[in-house]
Amino acid sequence: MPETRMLLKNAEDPALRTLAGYRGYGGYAALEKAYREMEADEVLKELEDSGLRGRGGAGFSMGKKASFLPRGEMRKYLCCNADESEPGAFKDRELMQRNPHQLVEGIAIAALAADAGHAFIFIRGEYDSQADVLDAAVAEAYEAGYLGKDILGTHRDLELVVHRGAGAYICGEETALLDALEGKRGNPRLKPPFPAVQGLYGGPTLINNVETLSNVPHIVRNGAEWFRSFGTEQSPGTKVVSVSGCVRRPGNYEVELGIPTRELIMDLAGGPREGREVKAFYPGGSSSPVLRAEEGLDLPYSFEAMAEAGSMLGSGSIIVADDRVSIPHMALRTARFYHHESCGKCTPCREGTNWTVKMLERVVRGEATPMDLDIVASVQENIIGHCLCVLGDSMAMPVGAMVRKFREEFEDVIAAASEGAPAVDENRLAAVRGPAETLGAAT
Amino acid sequence: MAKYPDRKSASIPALWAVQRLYGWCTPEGIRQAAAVMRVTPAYLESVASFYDLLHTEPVGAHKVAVCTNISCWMRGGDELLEAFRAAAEGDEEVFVTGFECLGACDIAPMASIDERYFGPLETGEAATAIEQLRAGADVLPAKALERRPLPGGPDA
Repeated sequence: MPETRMLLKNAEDPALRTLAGYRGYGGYAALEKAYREMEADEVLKELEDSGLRGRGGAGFSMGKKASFLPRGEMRKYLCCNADESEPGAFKDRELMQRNPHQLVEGIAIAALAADAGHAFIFIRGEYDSQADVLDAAVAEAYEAGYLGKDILGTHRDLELVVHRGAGAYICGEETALLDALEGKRGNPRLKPPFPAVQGLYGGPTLINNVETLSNVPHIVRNGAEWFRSFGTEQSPGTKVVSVSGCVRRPGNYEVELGIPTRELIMDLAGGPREGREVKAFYPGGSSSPVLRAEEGLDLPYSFEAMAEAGSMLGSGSIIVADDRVSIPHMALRTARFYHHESCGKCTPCREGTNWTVKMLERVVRGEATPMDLDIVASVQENIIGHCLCVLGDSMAMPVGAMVRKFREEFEDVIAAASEGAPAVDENRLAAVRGPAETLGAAT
Repeated sequence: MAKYPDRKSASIPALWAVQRLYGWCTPEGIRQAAAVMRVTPAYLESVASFYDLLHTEPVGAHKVAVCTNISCWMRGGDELLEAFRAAAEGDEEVFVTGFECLGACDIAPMASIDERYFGPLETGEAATAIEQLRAGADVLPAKALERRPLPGGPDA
């Protein structure tokens, strides 16, 4: 099955980055329509009717979220979450780099719907070249009168600032993002109050992911009904899916939600190398519970199907592990990441990630007993739901799933390591070493 | 600061400016930024120490971050990091570090060299990249992320 490109349409054309190029493909028509011909409530209704679900991980209805902002005269804010830091996710990078104006247009329209006068794009500090691209696009949009004071002569104002982060996964969590944007250490806040009520500088704030906002111009231009003609009933639209790991053509593929996961992994991304098989995969970034090949490959790739299978679509990032990848080592890698990124505010996460890493290190060194695996599993259960944010859960869910689904392999690794096998089994990874076989171009 | 409704929001941009000027967030630079922002130096230091990209200790003029997270690990990120470390050994101007996911699993294994992404890299290319950095030449132009097409090719 080919891709269905909406957000990545014409993305191969470098001219798309410029205002002139973007307008050449019909860009900013949706902004003109929204500002000149529509009321804010109509825009909001269109977004709600479209059924667009947040593409950052939670999958919450975007229109509904925007409707939670209180009405009335007060300072409201819009934050675009471009802190993409989930291992396995790299779709926002592609969207910002190739089509920055689509995002700027989406922000301007969403700000109209939410009645926000000040918007920020919080982009992770590592995405330096993408931030440069955004800076240039924002400057062009100001110049053309799509941003700033009195947009298109409609007496509406919008300031848009590109704000670079400085390297912390936790800042992708919406309340930590707000703290970081206010110039503090990026620690999450207690919810409620939710950001829609009390967010940035204490004002009502709408926070949306890059991909979510990039969908907005398409919905306004073509209507909610048109948008719903893509994808499934509960997951309308397309999704830019990042596929990486043990596949021949890693990269971003835009598909209709609900296509068979097998087509994404085996056809579009080329599947594992000759002679290898898919063993397991993370369907939605490193924080989604892994699925075994046999339970996951034939599921439709949609929010509802992944949730039903006990996992999640998350940010839409598939990491494929083939039969040479050692699951205990993969679990350790995953746990180390969350341990490093835990902000330390809540005890279950700070201590739980630490202990999980220590115990998994004992597993791969052969110093653990099978009983320790029960302790690893119980630590995960004691993290879930016990913290201000979901960072701890994001380790507990995949690690817990790996211990549960691949318990025999954990026991094998303990046994092999205690008999003197090297701490990291080189052979298990040999087959997937080295760069991708093909570089980008379709084969 | 004028871009933000609250001047404190400028703390990360201010620390970026300090780092650009001095190479790292020096105590003197932090004092200067704090004076301009009308906050205490300790406040800015608490912010600087939270973030991975802000350095509160001296680092070299060139920065290499090698991703060792899941997708890069599967494709040899650890070996790539070792190769960069070996190639830059004893050179104080090149600061090599392992890093968590940089958001470029499509070009795994990869590295961010002076804030630009390169991949997929062979271990042998680490030494080449370091040589090019020292010589002030373009680093691995063929492996720059910007030059990479979409994996699915142009629109059908």
